[in-house]
Amino acid sequence: MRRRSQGHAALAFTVPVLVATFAFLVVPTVAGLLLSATDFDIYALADLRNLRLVGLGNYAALAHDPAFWRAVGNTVLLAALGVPAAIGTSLAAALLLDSATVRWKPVWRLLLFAPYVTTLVATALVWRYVLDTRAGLLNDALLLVGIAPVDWLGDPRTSIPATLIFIVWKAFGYNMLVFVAALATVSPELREAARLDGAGPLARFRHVTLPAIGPALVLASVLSVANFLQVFAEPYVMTHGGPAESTTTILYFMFDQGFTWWNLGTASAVAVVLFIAILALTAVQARLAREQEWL
Amino acid sequence: MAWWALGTTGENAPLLLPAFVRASGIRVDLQAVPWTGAHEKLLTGFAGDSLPDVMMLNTGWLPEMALLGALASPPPALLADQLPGARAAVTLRGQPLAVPWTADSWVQFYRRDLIAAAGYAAPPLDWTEWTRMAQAIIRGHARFATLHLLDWPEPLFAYAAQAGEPLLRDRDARGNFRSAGFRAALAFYKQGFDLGLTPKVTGAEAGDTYIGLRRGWFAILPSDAVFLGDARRAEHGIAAGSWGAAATPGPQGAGPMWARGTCLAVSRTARDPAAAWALVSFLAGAPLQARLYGITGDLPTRPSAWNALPGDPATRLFGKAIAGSVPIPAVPEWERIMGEVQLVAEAMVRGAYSVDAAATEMDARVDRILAKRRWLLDRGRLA
Amino acid sequence: MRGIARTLALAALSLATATPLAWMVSVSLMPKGAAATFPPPLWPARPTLANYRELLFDHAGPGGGVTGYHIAGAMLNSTLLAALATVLGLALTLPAGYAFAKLRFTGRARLLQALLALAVIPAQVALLPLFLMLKWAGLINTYAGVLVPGLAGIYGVLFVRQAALAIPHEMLDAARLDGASEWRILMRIVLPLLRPTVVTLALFTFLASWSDFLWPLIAITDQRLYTLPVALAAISREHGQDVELMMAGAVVTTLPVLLLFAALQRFYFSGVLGGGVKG
Repeated sequence: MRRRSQGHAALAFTVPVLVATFAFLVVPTVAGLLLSATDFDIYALADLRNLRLVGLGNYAALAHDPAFWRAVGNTVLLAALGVPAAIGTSLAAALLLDSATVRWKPVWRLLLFAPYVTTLVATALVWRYVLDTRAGLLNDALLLVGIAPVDWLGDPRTSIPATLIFIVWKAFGYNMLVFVAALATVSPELREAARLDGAGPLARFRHVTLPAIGPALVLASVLSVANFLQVFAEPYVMTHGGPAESTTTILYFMFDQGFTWWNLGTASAVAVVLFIAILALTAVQARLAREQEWL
Repeated sequence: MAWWALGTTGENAPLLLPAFVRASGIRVDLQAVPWTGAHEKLLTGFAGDSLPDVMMLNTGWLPEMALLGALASPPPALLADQLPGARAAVTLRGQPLAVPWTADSWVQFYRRDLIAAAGYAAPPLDWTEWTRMAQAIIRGHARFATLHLLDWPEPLFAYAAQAGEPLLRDRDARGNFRSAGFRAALAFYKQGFDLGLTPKVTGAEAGDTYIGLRRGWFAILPSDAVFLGDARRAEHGIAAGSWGAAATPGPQGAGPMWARGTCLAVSRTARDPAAAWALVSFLAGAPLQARLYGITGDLPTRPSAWNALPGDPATRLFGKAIAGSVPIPAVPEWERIMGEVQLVAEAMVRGAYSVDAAATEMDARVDRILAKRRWLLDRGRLA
Repeated sequence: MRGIARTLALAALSLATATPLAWMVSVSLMPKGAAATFPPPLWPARPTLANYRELLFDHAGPGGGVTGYHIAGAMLNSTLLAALATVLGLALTLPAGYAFAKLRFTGRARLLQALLALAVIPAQVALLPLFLMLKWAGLINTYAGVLVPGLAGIYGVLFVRQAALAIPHEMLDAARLDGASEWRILMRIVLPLLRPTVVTLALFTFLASWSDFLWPLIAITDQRLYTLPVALAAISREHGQDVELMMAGAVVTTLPVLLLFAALQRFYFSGVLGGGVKG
């Protein structure tokens, strides 16, 4: 009797969110797969009779499209430079915040975390001006140490690093908190013992701290890669994908194909490729989670 | 009733409306849409069934809107008293789709003092002599001679118009960017960057171009008629008499220019078509076109409105350029083709391609964009 | 000694991190053109609220007409949408998260697995077909259309479930023996126990909705329905050179959420440190 009333309640409690998930996530995802097998474009938008089934044709076309590979390359470069930079910054800040002797911790924590809370589009605009060649704060600061002005967002060679400075600034606070939590699990006795054994700071980090935060570090890195694969608003606001397509990311490319030119077939194929990449990452993550003993 | 208006014209449109609202009693919900992003907003509006009743359009977008069947046909009376080019620009396969509103062209505005200091009364109109003048300018009178923003297709396409070769071939279904004429224009465009006559910057980096002109960062600003309106406003700090206007240079003197302009269209899904056309009729009328010129510098499409304009040299220059303009290819993909061609041109300027390699790449990209059009043409499903 | 060095290092890092935000506020108070000089000024010589006035209220346009940026409307839209997204999100995910943690019902394990598997799908994959679906439902360019994708709240369910697992069964069973309905148990016992989780989830949902950009950019075409990020991005395309105005826009977009966060940070930090929220 009680069991059945729990069943009824569970039905009422879970069905709404399950229906929403099915309708607004599962159905469109499957539809996206189907759409990627068509050449839905502006002609099909005008008249559905102009729609053709092309099978894997969109994928084949993407494989031969230099602009797509450019976007893939930009995104991979962002992730390859960005993950170490972001994780490194988070870890450095976390290690500083973790030490027992530091004062006014809550103040620093709030200040360091604040960018994570800010609205992406707004702070991307702020950074567009901070990175400005002539009137920007960053070049002004660099000039103090004798570095000549850099055309951060205007030069295809520096536009990715410039975008990264902003992304790292915006995001590092989150993983910093995760690492602080992981560091809190290191027993003070163990640290003290290592210190009495005469282990230097580097050795202590290697043998005491790293094993404790290793899993968090790996998980954060994998999630960080996934986040870098989905960068869109930063180039949309700061560079419009330029200069010379140097900041066109995969998602920016998808948006451009889909919602600028209404090539929904091509755009869906890009979305599916992105999906597969993230799926592969998740598999890697699951595998690493199983082999957590690696450190 | 909803109306989307573009750019500076849109921002100033609130000035135009009170007289209409008073006379008709129709409330107009005006939205000013920035030029960048306006095209995608219109397409998304169509796809999402949320187009406004009345919209201001770039005439170059009409083939696309026609393909989508998004527009209602205007009453014939509104198409009387129009410049021949303006009427042609809104007519597709004999069917008018919108009412011409503003006409435009592309000329070079220059600082008299800097051009004179380089030893010229006005910028020369042929490429060879123009380059000689530009080199004289950068030898001490200004940092750069001119400004060709790398994310703006207008300068390159203006030179392409001078070269006088069609940009598409084969039923307008393939790129014709390897033609000798276009390659000559491309080489002239590239040379401007190679010789340091123009900086390698995008619009976002260049910032306020009027500040650049005022401070002598460059001496010549190629622009459309929006300059005429902006030059009158104190905030831009362009003193009257300090500047002049000259036609866009061509290979052997100034040649034809692309027909440019905007039009007013009514959505097929307008709730009250009669009211919508009443607004269009008011806005596109000769008195209002003349008034609009006074506010924003937008040039009229009606000969009778031109009669009311002042006869200053810059305005006359535009009148001449508009009269001699040639139509752009009437394909729905045109906006995308221009963007794609400019991306290749930017890469070329930054050293990724030679002129010939860039032209080949442009044709390849454009042919890919036009693949569906060829398929439809081959099957007779597209006129 | 060591402590002072580290405190100084942290202070320097915090200062560098906070500088762009402080500069944003400072520039927003400068008169037009003041920030574009070289070297860039750090403080407004004569602070002014002119940029905020221009941004928030209709004003005389360049040619004398009355124009406005609809930012006040966008603030209202953003607030309403984020509040609605939060209320709807909590209403959907709290009961479900609790049910998956504490109620016994057939298919629970399998459904949970399915949800975990679906959590992998990036939202962007669903965007394009979702647009077409909502177009056919007539929901493009409406509040409802903006809210819809957020309703698939898998992370919320998993987050609540994680927290609810810690509630002792005895407590719930005692309430059941007293004849309380499951709904009453949820409202009177479970939610009060989960208060930090609820606040964290609410804050998280509110922030996510407030900052969301890609979907509202696509789903809304009417300027009067724009959210703050979409409105700001649109203004920056036309008035990007007007640094002072854009910084005022960035301040009104980002300050409300910063203040909200500062007020509720206690819950948020404990929520994140407890683990389980996606970054």
